[in-house]
Amino acid sequence: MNEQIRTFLIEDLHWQGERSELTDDLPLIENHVIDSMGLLRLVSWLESTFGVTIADEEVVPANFGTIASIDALLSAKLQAA
Amino acid sequence: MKSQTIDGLLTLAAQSAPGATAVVDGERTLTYAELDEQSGRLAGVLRERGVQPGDRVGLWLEKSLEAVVGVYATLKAGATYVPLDDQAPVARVGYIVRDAGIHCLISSPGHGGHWAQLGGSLRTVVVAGEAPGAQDGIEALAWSELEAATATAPARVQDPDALAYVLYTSGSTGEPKGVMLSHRNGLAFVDWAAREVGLHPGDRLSSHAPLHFDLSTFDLFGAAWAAAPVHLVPAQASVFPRELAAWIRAQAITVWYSVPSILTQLVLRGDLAAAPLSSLRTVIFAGEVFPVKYLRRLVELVPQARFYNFYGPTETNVCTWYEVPVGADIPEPLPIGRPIEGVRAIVRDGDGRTVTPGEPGELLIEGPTVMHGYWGDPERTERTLAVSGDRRTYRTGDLVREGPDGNFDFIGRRDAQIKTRGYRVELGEIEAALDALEQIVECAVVAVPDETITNRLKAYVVSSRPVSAAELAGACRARLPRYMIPEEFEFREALPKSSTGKIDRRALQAGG
Repeated sequence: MNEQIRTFLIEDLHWQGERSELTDDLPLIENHVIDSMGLLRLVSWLESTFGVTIADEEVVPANFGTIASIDALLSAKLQAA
Repeated sequence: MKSQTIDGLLTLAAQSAPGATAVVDGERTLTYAELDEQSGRLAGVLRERGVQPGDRVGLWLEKSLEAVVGVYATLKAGATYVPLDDQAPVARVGYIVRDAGIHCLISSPGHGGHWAQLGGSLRTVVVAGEAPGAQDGIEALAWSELEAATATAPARVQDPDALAYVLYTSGSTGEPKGVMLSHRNGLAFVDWAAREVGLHPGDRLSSHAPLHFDLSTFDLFGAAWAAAPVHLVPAQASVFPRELAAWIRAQAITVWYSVPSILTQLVLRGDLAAAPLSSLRTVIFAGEVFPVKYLRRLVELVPQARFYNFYGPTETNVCTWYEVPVGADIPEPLPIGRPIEGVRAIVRDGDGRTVTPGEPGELLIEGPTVMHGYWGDPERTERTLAVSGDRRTYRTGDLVREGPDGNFDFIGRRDAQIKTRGYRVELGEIEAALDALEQIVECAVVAVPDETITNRLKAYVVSSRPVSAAELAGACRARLPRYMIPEEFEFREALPKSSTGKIDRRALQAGG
C-alpha cells in the first residue's frame, strides 16, 4: 500500500521532490507534500481505492503525518472490515 | 494617513509600542522594537551589498519571522520586495528572478541547492539560517551575521509613489506577470481597511495567505498600523481544519482574513459547533466567491463576529467591499459591494459606454489603490491601464452589475481567467505548459465549477502519439505551481471548434 500511496502523492498531488526522498517516515505536512486541498483528495482517493470510510475526526496529523501513519490507519481499517 | 510609507507604519509602532508583540511564528516572537531594529540592520546590510533604491529584492522562503524582517528591511532600504512562492517549481521562480532583475535574495537554507539555477544576475543571498558554502559566485550570508553587523537603515527620501512590492500572478501568454504596487497603493487600502474594521492594539491578527498573495498586506501592515500582533498560521494548522480551529482558539485570534475555501473547510470539518471560535470579532474573506450556503453556516457558528467580503484583483488591491448583514437574509449571490474610500467604480459595455445601474458591463476601477502597471511590460500595461496625470484607471475584465442599493454583483469574466481556491489562474498559462510537449497537437484547459474550491481544472488533450496523464502532469509540475495542475486529463481525437476555428471551451465545459 505504501508504494500506491507514494505514487498518488507524486502523480496526483504533484509533490516536487524525488521519489527516493519520499520515505515512509518523511513528515508530509512540514515538507509540503500534502496541502489542504491535497489532504481532501487523498482522503477520498483512499476511500475509493481501498473501500474504507475515514471520518472527519480521523483526519488528524497523527494519522496523516507520514506515509507510515497513513498505512497504519488503513491497515487497521482493513483488518477491522 | 498615519504614514506616507509602509515601513513608516513600523517605525511608528516601534515608537508607540516598542515592547508590544509584532509577529508570532510558533514559539518565536518579535516585538515591534526588535522587528524595527532587525529590519533596520538588514536594510543596512542590503545597502552595503549594493541594493539601491528602486531595486527589487526577492523573498524566497516560508513565511516566518525572517520573511517579515525581510519585507520591512527591503522597504527601509528604499527597495521593492518581490515575494516568490515558496512551493513553486524552480523554473518559475527563476523566470521571476530574471524578469524582475533580482540581484539580492532573502531565502531559506532548504532552497540553497537551487540558487545557482535561478540564473540572471543573482549576486547575494541572505539566508534565514545557516549559510551553505559559496555557490557559483553567489555570496551567501548567514542570518547570524546580521547580529554582528553594525549597519543601520539608511536615511531615505520618503517617496510614497516608489514601488513597495511587485506581485507576480498567472499570465495568459504562459509566463507570470508582475503587478507593480507603490507605498501609496498599499496604504490606500490598508489605512482604509484598518479604520473600517477598527483595528486596535488589543487585536490579534492572523496571517494565512502567503506573501505573494495580496491578502498578506492587510495582515502584516494592518497589524503595524494598529501596533497589534500578527500570528503566522503554521503549516500543520493550514492543512487540517480541526488543527486550524484549535490554533485560532489557542492564539485567541480576533481578526481573520483568508480566501473563502479555507472558511468553508472550517465550517465542514472544523468541528466548530462543539468548540466555538469565541475570540473572533472580525472575519474577512476575499479572492473568490463565497457560496452563501456555507457563509450562512459560518455566520451561525461564529455569531459574535462581523463578516466582510473584500473584492479586487491584485492590480487594484481591494477596491470594493460588502459587510454581510446580520440577522437578515444574506443576498445570493453575495455582492462584492461598493467602492472603498477614494475609489471610483465605472461599468462599461462592450462599446465603451457607461451603462446604467442594473445593466451588466465590465468593471473599471480608478483611484489610489490602482497599480502602476506590469513590470517590464508597457504593452500589456497599456491594454488594461489608462493613465492621465495622477489618475489611473484599470479595466478589471470582471463583469458586474450595480444593484438598486448601490452594491455591485460579480457576474463573471470576459476572458479565460478563473479562480481556484482563491488563486487566480490564466487557463492559457496551463495550456502553454502542455503545448510545450512536442507530442501535444492541441489542448484546452477548462474550469469545472466546484462548490468548495470554486473551480477544478480539467485538460482536454489531442496527442500525436500515446502519452499518459502522469507524463502530462509531470510536464506541468516542472513549470507550474501545484494549484495550476489539472486534476484530470481527457484524451480526444479532436477538440470542438467554433465557427471561427477557435477551440470551443464552452462546448468542452458542457461536456461536448
